[in-house]
Amino acid sequence: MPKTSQKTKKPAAKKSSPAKKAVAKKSAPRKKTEIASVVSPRLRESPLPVDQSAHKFVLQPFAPSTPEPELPAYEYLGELPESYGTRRLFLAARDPRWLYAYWDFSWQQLRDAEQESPEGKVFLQIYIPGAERVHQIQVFPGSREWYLPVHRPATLFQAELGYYRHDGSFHRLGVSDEILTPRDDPSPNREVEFVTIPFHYSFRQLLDLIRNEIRPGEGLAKALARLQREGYPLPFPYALRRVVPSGLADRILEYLGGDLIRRIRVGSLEITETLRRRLLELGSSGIPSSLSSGPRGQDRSFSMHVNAELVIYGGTVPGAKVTVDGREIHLRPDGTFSYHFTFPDGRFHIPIAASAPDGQEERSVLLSFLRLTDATPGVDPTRQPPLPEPIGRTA
Amino acid sequence: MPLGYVAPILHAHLPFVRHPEYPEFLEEDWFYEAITETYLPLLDMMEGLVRDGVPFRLTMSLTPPLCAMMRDPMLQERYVHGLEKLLELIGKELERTRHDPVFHELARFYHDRLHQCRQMFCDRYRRDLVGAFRKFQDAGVLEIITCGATHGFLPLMREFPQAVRAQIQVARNDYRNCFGRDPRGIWLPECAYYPGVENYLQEAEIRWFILDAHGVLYAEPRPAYGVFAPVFTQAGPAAFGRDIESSKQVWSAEEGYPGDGDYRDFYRDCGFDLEYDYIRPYIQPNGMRKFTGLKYYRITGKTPHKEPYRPWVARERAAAHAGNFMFNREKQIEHLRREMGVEPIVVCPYDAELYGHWWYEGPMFLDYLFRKTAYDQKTFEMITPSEFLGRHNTHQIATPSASSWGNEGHWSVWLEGSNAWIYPHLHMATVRMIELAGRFHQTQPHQLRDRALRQAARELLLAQSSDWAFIMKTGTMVPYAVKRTKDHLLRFNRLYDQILADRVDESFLGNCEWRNPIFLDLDWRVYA
Repeated sequence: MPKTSQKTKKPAAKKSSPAKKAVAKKSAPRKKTEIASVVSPRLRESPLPVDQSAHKFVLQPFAPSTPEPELPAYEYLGELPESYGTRRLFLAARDPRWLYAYWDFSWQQLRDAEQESPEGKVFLQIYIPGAERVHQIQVFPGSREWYLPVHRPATLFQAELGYYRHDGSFHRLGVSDEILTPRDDPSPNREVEFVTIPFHYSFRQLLDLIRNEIRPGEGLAKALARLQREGYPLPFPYALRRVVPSGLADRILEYLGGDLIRRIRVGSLEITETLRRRLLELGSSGIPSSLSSGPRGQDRSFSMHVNAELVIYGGTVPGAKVTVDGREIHLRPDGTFSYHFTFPDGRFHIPIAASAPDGQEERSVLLSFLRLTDATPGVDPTRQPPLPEPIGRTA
Repeated sequence: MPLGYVAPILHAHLPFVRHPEYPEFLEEDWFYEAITETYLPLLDMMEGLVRDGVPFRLTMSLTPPLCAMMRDPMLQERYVHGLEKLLELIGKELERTRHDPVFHELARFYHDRLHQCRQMFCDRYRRDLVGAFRKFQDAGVLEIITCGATHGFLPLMREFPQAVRAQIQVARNDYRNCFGRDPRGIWLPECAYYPGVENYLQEAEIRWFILDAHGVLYAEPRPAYGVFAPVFTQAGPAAFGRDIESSKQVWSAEEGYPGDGDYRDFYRDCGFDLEYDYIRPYIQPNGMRKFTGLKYYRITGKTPHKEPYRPWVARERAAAHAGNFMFNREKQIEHLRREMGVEPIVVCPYDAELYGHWWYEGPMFLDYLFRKTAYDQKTFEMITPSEFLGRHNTHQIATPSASSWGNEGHWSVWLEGSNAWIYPHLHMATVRMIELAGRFHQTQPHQLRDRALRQAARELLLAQSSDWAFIMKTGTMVPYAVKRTKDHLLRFNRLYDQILADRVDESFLGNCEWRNPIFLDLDWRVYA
């Protein structure tokens, strides 16, 4: 099923292997102790494991049997460093409910901090400035980031990283900017302030017009609104206070579905993806699931799908004659060939033979495959693009 | 006077994908497919509307990377080459299907379409799609807006004002080069907004931007007219909110137009359906099958069995759907006008590539929608946001809520397990670029160093493209997105080291410039 909610994904995301990732259960962010020894993903040769249900299962191009052509100049540029050791602490409000923090400390820097600390512990702390602490997480050398549930929209947060001294004071090694989680509902503030901003005046011209009137920190629109209320002479007509029908904002919100807005908040990009995946699942026959039926409903139910395809490939000298399962095939100009087909349950024996262009020599190979699927109920075959049927099936 | 307005907005964007180092590159196909299936059909639609004197208004973002690709001679040449190959294939298809009237007719249909594409691209527009779109802007029927320079996700660079400013200013300058005037509107990349972005827009004289519905509905204070009127941010630029109902009507299961059984099926493609040896010259050089764009089946229904596509029936469905869409907007606007007492504006933003590429009949739908709106009703008018702000210049002041149009409405698509690893590197490169600009912006010009600084800024901008994080999240083509992110960052880092050491390796720099020739006159001092 298309994955429409990030909430099903484990927020403490870096896992040690794709296999582990695939069986990860939904849980709160996990302590970094468990992954402290894991090689940083940015050092991986292969991409990080991602949302398995969203995989398209595209097979990578097969490795040709002929030597790789020389890579273009500067094709391989090395690897990014694991960290830069700048001691920056970054905090972002990912949404109204989750914060994300990363810190650019090297393994050694965190290790040193641990040793400096009387308790031997380094902490990431999240707090509301001027108020309470909401998270305290022990940070281990090698860890880099954390996803933190806060579930507090429209609230200011800050992060700090450091350790406690003997006297109980906190020694800061890094501190983040203050960040605000976004609102998750309409503002209770119903104040209505109108302003006229003529489109044919540039912002620069408007700022010049009121340069002497604008107050420190006051935005252009705010200043214009204030001056217009005061009847300040401006070289363009502006509207007097406009009357908004009483209760209009509530009626508009109701018209838009009230609280439903939150449930149907699916961006067009996601709609594209949903559309694409649904089409795949329905064998190119369907349409996207109703936005109003709620991506938090059925789409998040547990599911599994598996399938297999088979790619046979190889090469010989150009001009040779090659048969696959008794049928002569065309070689590419460089003498290579490949077959890509579905691989359903069954037993397959595929003889492949090549004879030299002059017919003097022969080589042959027999490839045998067995696929047996034994699945628990509720496992569906992954949809595949239309592919040729397999050859050499014997059972 | 109309009772209200509808503003259709198409966001045309592709990441900058151009690989001169390889003779063919699969990911470049995104661009070639979009030309054939989206950009040329939209241009053709506008040609027809102008020719027939149909009054219409359309707003489109053409992002700087897309414009750079449209203007790139190598990609133009490769597109024409690919088109020639497809024409060769369709020639064979005419022969192969000659005894099957149904499929022969379809082959003829594609034959005509592809010839039309070649005629438009080569003869009518002389390969200049930017110029082709510009013509309609100059004619007053199309408003072209800009975007972030490389579609960078602005909220995750907010700590670095220079980086946000660079995304906006470089885009604005590029727009001037392409369209000979300043942009008045912007599609914030991924519609991602945080309070404060408007200050950078004000600097660039950008008058308005678009947000997803909740960005406006949850503004502070609560907007009295919901998403049916823009709000002015405190700095001056106006925010327009996306209408939910019209989005749903295009995409939902009950009314969703693109899933109609008579429409063309995206997945049944000759590249996968036809016998391997026959199709081999038209798929990937490594022998992997790929989409060719020749698709002979319709969606049919919820069944693996597919019936042949019938273009004329699909056209009738597109017309019916356009009529349905128009009717719903009429009812919506009548209701809103009664409630609001002023003319509502219904803003309908979509990915441009949904029209034509995913939904093959999408441009046809739009064509009918414009024609029907002009002649079959009087309730509303089509309008661009700039035109609307010209007619209606008094609005409420409010600060929108941080939001994006991605899943869940905030940052979770671009900041999650698969892609969060990129941000420490992007931020470090940003810090370094600011450091370089600060150090050198007042020094004497130095030709080689200036080139290196410019290229460093290009590499940083390209690494910031939100497309890479999006691809990592969605799980298709992931290795490519990972490699692009790393390569740009590694190139940046190498240039940074060389600039600081005053040892710019000209052959390396030349190679970078050769690979990524975007923003040719980029002013790196924007980071100072």
